[in-house]
Amino acid sequence: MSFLSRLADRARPPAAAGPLLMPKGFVARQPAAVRREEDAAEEEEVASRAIRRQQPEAPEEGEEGVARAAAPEEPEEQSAGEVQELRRADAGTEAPEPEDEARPLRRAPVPATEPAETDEEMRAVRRAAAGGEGEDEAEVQPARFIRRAEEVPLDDTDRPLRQPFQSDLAPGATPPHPDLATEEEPSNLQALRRDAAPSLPAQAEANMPDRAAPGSGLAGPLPPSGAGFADRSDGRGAAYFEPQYGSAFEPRSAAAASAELTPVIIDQLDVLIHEPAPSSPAARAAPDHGRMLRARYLRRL
Amino acid sequence: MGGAATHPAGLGNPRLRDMTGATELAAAEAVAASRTRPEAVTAVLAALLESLDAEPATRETMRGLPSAAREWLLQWIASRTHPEMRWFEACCEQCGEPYDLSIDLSRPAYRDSNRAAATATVETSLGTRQFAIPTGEHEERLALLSGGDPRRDLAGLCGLSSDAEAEALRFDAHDLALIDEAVEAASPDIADSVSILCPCCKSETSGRIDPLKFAVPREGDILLEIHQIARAYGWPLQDILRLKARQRAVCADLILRERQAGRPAGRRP
Repeated sequence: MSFLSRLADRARPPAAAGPLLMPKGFVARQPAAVRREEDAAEEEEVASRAIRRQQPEAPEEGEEGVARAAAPEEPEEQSAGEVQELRRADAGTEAPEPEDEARPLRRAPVPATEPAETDEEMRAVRRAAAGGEGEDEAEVQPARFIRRAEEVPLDDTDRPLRQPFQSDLAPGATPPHPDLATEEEPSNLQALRRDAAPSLPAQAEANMPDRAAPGSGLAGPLPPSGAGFADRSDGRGAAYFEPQYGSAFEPRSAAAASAELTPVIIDQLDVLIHEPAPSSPAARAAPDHGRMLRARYLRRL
Repeated sequence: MGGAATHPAGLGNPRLRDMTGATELAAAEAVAASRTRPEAVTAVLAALLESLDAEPATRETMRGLPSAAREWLLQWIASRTHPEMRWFEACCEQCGEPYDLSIDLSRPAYRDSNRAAATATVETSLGTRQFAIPTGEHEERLALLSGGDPRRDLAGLCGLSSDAEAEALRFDAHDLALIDEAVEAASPDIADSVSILCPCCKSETSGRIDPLKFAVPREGDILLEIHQIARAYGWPLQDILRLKARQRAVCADLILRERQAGRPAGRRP
């Protein structure tokens, strides 16, 4: 795009110039309804919006990556950061290429339905679009829901005060636990695939080999427990993992892997965390790094 | 040759106004009242900035800044008012899948102009012509034009000849390309968009960063908080507007939590 064309794009309405990059969790609210029942309007406004939190880990602030493309003839001030992959491939697979530019992060598909959540888990974002934004209406973002994992307790002091992308939401803003200091954070320059939702439609299984890129350390979405296995049984009455699901972990061919795989049946995996309740108010109020550590471990399962 | 810069050359050190409710409301009202984006940029910069070095930040001074410098100030304001903002999201233009991206607004990718001159001289088919560096004023006028060839429109707006607009209609494609190159070399530039590979479909997609969309508080949000505080505490409007923006947000949030918890939020008898 020519320089003058880019200037012209700045002068046009943002919707006409292409998709916008918005802060994560940002929700453009509708104007507040003007009604006599002010309490109802406020409560409805607050309860109707929430933000889904996608990435709990925090990238290192030292590994800064700036995604820029439109500065011409410009050596970009970017440093190649290390890649932290959620699931690493074996040595036989292709190693990830070093990155010299920012890469986007892929998200998990939206889960089908979410159960009703308590008020402590809902994050209200209070934003109201101004009534006079005629040309900006097209840019209203869809509502997103935020869900706090139950392993991470929320105190009143931890709630975001105003915007969903405050320090407790944005990755990397919360001080890491000392026990997690040795863990490598995902670089801002590297795209990280997110863990897929646990439930997948049966039709998605046909696309699994295309999604898990070999050598990228990225595992394709796991099939739902039992849901697609009935059709794939080997006649011995036991379901087995599809070879393509194992390809992200083993360098062998799919045929060899399927012949050597021992049928494994996992229909449920329960993780029980039992811990005594804190005895004193001070202990309850103090940030529970032990739970944060367990929560982090659970997320990496 | 111009190189990477953390601060636009020739642009004074910006100074933000005190972020009180009055300042935020003025900025929000400025955005709401603007007809076009360049107008909104001018109004927001004048509302949120106090000065550039010793020069007061007025609409006239903001309108006279180069386009890239205005965008730099917007990103600078966004990084100062929202320092925690780091992760952004957008949808792929091809497959529509959302993706996340980390962007550091505190370090805008800015390039100063390659030349010290404030104009660009081009040998066109109509003769030697001079063109000014596009500023906010040119952007505001461009936004009011109907969609055409942006190079031709800007050639007519930035041309310094007496009949620049008529001559712009006579420029051929080669002239426009020469004008584009010359103006680009004479103007600073800033990256306000990203071009990436979609992690899902692996196709090239792009996304724009517009701080006006997320860095400037919305008028309705501010008024809602003012209403909540006034209703709960009985404070006059001027006192509430004097609160720092964060203080006002904290008060409003506390009031909201108390209401959600079932406790009456209001003045004590």
